[in-house]
Amino acid sequence: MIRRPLTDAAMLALALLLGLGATWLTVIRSDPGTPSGAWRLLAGAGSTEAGLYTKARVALFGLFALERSEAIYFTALQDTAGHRLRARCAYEISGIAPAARWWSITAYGADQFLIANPSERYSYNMGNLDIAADGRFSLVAGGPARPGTWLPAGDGDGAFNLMLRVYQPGAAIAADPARMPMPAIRPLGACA
Amino acid sequence: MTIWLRRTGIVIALAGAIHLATVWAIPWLIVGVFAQRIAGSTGINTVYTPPLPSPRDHLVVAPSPDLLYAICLLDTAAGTVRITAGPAAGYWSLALYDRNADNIFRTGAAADAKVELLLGRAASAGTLAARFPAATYIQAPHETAILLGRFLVADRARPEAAIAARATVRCEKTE
Repeated sequence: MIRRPLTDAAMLALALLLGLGATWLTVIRSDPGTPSGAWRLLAGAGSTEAGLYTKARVALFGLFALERSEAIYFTALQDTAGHRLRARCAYEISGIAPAARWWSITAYGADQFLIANPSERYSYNMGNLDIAADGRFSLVAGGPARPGTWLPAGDGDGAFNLMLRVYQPGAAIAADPARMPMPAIRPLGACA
Repeated sequence: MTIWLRRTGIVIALAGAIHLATVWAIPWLIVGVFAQRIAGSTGINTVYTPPLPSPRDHLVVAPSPDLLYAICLLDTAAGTVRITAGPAAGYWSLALYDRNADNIFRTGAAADAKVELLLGRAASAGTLAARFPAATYIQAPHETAILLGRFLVADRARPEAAIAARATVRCEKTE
C-alpha cells in the first residue's frame, strides 16, 4: 500500500535534483557572458528583452546593471592564457582606453564583493590611471603589494575577478561591444 | 516497461518545469530580498543614501567603488511617484528597475540638466501632465520598482561633490 507514495516521493525528489542541478549548471556554474579576449561581455544586461538565463545571471553577478546604451560590463575570470585569476599571482592589465564618458576596472572576490585591503584601493579608472597620448594604459592586479598602479586582489590563493565598466560608451562600442579592443591580462613573475 | 517509461517522462517534464521556474524566479527573489532591506532601513518612496561601497557592504553584488548610490524603493500602488534629481556636475545617472531587475528607464543626465520623472501604473499621465509639465511619464510594469541614482566619485577621499549631487534626489508621492 505504501509503495505508490514512496515511488511518487522518489520521482519528485529526482525531478527536484535534476531541475535544481540544471539551474546550478546553466546559471551559477556557467561563465557569464560572451567571450571577448580574456573578458566576457555581459550581453543583454539590464535589457527588458534579455532571456531568462541572462536575467538570472545578471541578478546573481551584477544586479541592477544598466542597459548597454548607458553602460557596458565586461568581466574577467581568467587571464589571457585561460588560467583562473588567483590572488597570489600578479597580472599586468594593459590595453587602449575605451572611448567612453567614464570607465573603470574593479577587482572582486569570488563572492562578487569588494576585496578588503589596507590601502582601500578597489579600482582604477580613467581619472587616476596614466593614459599615454596614444590611449595606452597599464596596471598590475593581484600578487604581493607593490608601488605604483597596483590593484590588490586579497591575501592567500583565492580566486578573484575583474570588472571593466564602460559608461556612456562611444557609438562604435555601443553598436557592437564585442569589437571593443579589450585589455590583455598577462601573469607576471612566477605565475607567468 | 510502459510504466517506467511513463515515470521517466514525468520526472523529465517535472525537472524541466522546476528548472525553468527557478531560473525565472532568481531575479525576483534577489530583488525581493533587496527591497525588504531597503524597506526596513528607510521605508518606501524615500531616498536611501548608503556610504561609498566598501568590502563591508553586501547590499548588492559587485558594487562600483567609484559611485555613490541613491536608492528609492518605489511603490506605485497608492498612486504615481515623482522623482527629481540634479542638476549636478560630473557623471551621474538615474535608472529605474522593475521588480525583476529589468532596467525599464535610464537617463545619462547632462551635467546641467534637472531630471523629473513620474512613475505610475494607472493611465494618469494626462492629469499629471498639467501639474508637472516638464516630467517624463513612465508606466510601471508592476507596483514595486527601484530607483538607482549613480553619482561618480573620481577620488574616494573627496566625495563631497558627489554627496551634494546625490542630495538633489527626491522620491515622493504625487497624491
